[in-house]
Amino acid sequence: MVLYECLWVYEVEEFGPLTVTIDAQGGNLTAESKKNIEANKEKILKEL
Amino acid sequence: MKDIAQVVEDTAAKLLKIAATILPSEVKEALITGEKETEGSLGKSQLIAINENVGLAEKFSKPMCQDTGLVSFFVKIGDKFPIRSEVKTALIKATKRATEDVPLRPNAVDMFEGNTKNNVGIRGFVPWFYFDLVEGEDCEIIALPKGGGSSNVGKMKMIPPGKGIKGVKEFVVEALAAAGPLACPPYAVGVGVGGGEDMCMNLAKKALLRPLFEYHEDSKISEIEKELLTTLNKLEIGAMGLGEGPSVLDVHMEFAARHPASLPVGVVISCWALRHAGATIDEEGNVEWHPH
Repeated sequence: MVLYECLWVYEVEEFGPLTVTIDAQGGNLTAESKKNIEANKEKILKEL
Repeated sequence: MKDIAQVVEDTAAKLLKIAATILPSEVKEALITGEKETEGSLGKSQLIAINENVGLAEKFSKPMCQDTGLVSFFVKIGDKFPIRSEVKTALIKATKRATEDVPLRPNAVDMFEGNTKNNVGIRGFVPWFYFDLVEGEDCEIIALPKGGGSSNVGKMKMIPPGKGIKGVKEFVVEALAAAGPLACPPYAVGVGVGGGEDMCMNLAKKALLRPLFEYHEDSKISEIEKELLTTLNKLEIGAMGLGEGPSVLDVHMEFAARHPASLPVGVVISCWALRHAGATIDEEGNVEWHPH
């Protein structure tokens, strides 16, 4: 029985800079983006 | 006389390597244009990283993404092409070989036995084949390894036929809004309409193979493709879902006839790494690589 499904092992150098999408102070870019997309969707559906 | 089955295997293995490591030129161009035109620094930084990554993958002949996809082949076999069922065997061998050589990530997981480690399902079906029979002496092979993340946001719906084309558009908007930031945008979108519940998804996937910015030959359909491209970008998904830059690079649609009581719509979404590569082999085993 093979337990893993998909794994790579990486060796990285000079990795980054990275974008922090969820920070320790409650900031969440993904959640904000989803909210904006949802609002835009409602607007688009009315105009179709 | 060349060993045709061997030529098919070698060609398919190389197609999987090309697909995994080099983006089709029009996709590369679209991402570079996206980077230039994106004003927000958050979105721009994502596109800069994507384009740098695409360049490095090509330069070092390494996969552009850790997810090298679930392998499928679109194959057209000419009446006079010397082999037929052997093509299937050769494509399976090519998939196993490319898994070692490229390397591709082993992405075929059996529900009960785990990862098969070679991208080939132990119960058949993977790689998946779309076979077509055509006139002539050639065999055309297109490899489409599709990432799992963007396949996860694919959607199918049987719409009440009374909703018509407006219903189709609404469902595409809903599908893309639901995909949102989840599947590595900017996306390429394939839409299949009609057929049956399975065929609309097949058509949607096939629509992804049409080069970006090449629209349907029927102007009634190409107008909807262009309209949806503009509409979907108003969702403001943005590069990698951060709200800045392009959300969708292009939308392609294919239509089939439908049952009077049904209006099946399939939406297949590709991440920015829209990977496919093709070649045509003639009856003597000469290979012509499609422009990439």
